[in-house]
Amino acid sequence: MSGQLAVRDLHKRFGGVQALGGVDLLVAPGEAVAVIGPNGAGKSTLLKTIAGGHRPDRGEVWLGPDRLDRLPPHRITRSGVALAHQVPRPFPQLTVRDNVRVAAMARGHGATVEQVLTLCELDTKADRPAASLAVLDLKRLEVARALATDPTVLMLDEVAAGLAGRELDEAIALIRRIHATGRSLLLVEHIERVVREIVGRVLVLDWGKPIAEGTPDEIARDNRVREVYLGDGSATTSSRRPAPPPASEPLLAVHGLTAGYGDLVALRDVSLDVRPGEIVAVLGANGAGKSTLCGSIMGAVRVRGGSVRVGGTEITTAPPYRRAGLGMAYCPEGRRVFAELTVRENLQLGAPLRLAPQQLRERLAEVYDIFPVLAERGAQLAGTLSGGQQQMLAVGRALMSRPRLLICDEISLGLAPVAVDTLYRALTQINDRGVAILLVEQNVHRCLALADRACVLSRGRLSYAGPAADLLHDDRLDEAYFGTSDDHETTT
Amino acid sequence: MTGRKDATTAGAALLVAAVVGLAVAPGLEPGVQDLGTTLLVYLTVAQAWNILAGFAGQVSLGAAAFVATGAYTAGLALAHTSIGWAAAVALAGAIAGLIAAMLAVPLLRLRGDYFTIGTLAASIAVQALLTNWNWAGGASGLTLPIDRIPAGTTLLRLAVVVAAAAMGLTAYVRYSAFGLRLGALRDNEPAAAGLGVAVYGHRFATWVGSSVLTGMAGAVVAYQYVAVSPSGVASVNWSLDAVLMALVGGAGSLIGPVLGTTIVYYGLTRMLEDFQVLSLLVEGTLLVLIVRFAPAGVLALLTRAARPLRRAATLPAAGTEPA
Repeated sequence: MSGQLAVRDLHKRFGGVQALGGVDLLVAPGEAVAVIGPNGAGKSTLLKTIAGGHRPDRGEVWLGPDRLDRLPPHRITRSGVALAHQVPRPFPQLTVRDNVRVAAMARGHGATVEQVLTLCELDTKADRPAASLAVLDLKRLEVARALATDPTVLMLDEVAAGLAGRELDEAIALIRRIHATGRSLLLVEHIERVVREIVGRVLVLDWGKPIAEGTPDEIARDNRVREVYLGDGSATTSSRRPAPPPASEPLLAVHGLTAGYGDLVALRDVSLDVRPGEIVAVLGANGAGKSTLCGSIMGAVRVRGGSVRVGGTEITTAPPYRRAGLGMAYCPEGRRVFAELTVRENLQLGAPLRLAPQQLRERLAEVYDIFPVLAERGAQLAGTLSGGQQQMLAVGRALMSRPRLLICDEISLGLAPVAVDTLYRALTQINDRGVAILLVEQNVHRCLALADRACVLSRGRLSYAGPAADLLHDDRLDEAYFGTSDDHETTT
Repeated sequence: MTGRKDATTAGAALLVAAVVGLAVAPGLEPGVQDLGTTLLVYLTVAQAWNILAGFAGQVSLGAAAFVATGAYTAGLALAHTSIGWAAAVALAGAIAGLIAAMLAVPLLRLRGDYFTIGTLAASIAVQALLTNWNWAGGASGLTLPIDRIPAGTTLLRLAVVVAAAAMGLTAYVRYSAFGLRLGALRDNEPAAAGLGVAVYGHRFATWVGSSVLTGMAGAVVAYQYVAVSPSGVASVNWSLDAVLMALVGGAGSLIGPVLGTTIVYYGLTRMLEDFQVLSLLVEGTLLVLIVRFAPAGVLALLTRAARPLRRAATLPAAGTEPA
């Protein structure tokens, strides 16, 4: 297992966006290198281009004596470069073991399947179909498959994203175990801890170009890097407003809500309310029921028991389109912008159907005021925006209906800190205009700094409800996130 | 590795079934022989579709093109050359494979629904070509030299051999590393390519292999009907029947199409023989019901009913909710 990965002057353009503008990179045998940079910097594009998923416009990729950039993806994999994608892409109908076996055939080392399964802690689930795995295991499977191809260079695209506490520890331990087998690693990662604990060298990309390279410590001290990557550094300080008058009638009242899918009960007896102008945070680990709660409120998930009332109107069983008319707007997880429409068209679709042109312009202006970048890119296709910009568009689109209550599901997931800062500043502005916000998040500290009150869900039940500030010193958060959160085995 | 024992069992069972089929063929009534031939032809076409769609996820509506290619190849070969009927079957398979390889150039660029529409278009084009090909009899088709084609016992034995080839190839796909890679590219093609699966090569091999089987079935059809015409052997009904039979039984399994062929043929095709329009209506409804309520087919329903305990053990565990 040897061979140096050499990337020379790599260029890749998508339409009008220069995703890679001349990247040079050397990864020595056995070395671990991280690629960091703000959203839209070209990190994922770099990995995908090396793996053959994109064909470079210019430049070369070599592994030892082999030139890779002209080969189809499967030949690149067989040459010894494997990529674990940010969003896992399992073969859902195959068992976990067969998923790994397919990969192990790439270089004819079938005997390593069981070792890989054990290493990635999937051995006890090997005979289950991949479709039945929870998020953390899907990530393990994505890594396991890449590893099973017996790569000289293993590329990991944000495999730790969305993990916290013990899950994060486990992910780091897994990457270390893999590195210990002598493979070179190329990581794209937002989580500073992962970078610091694993790699010896960091490459910083911004707008498709390398802007700095060095050890993690050197990079942390580099002012230019701080600027592009972390924003101005003061952004995380919050401007806490006085809480709204508590006497007012709740805008949203959820009472005793129970919901689930098939045999699975995802939410049990959950009650919470949101008063006008208030920000309420809903926290909880993966699989705690946060998205189910949003879905139940918006009518996408059928409720089994309990009630949902908006402004005094009972809507527990109302169809989704009727709920939208009651002053609620929903910003779904994963952005869900209409990729083939322009930014402006996306926004228009968020507005009510029959709206006078004058009013439409006013509402667009309001959104552009909060997100100036959307005004600049009004005519651009939404699919060509960076992740952070798409998230802004998704929030902007929700605002076009002039909601009294905005429900945001995981708006900071997978975004660079600077993009999260922008979004949270925007949420503050939106709230200042009197819009109540139900904020479903994994990003605990950021979220608690903004919220008035918070609820913690743990495995479908409400384990805390009270002032957001108190939660920072409360064990319940630790318990909900770290205590039993990795226990995906509980069958109903 | 898992499955090696299953594969041996399946292979042995298949061999026994084929030998029994060949052995009992002479003792059967002519009507039963004819029925057997018909069922085995349907089974071959359904199983060929199953390899392509059930295992590799390439949903085709083009089976008719290869039934017709096979039938016309065998018919023309016997009418214009001196080769024997057995050689004509092999030639039918070869020509069907060749046509499939040529059609692969445009069709395998397509994926998903576009591939399906493409195969349907190809099959309609083949029908139109045959209708306008005067040398091959145009719209009225051609009649095979009756003294040179097999009938009765021999024809049934031929059908057994062709169906056994289809079952054998399906068993290979079901239990081999090749088949596992097909499952991977069915479930997620870019991910499969990223793990070293030669996507185009696998799609090409599956497409050509499935077409060769269908072409050989077409030759048997020509022998059975004696006369072939574009409206018969190139009818889109062949494609639809293949889909229906494989889906009803259970696509992506070895035994599913066997069940499906029997159920559909006895339950529908025969009972509604005299009511063509009604037959289409009922088949369409059945297809919708199967896709909606039993997408894995009758086989899966039976397996589930038979093994409630095992099912409970393999239920997806908690934590599988959409995040």
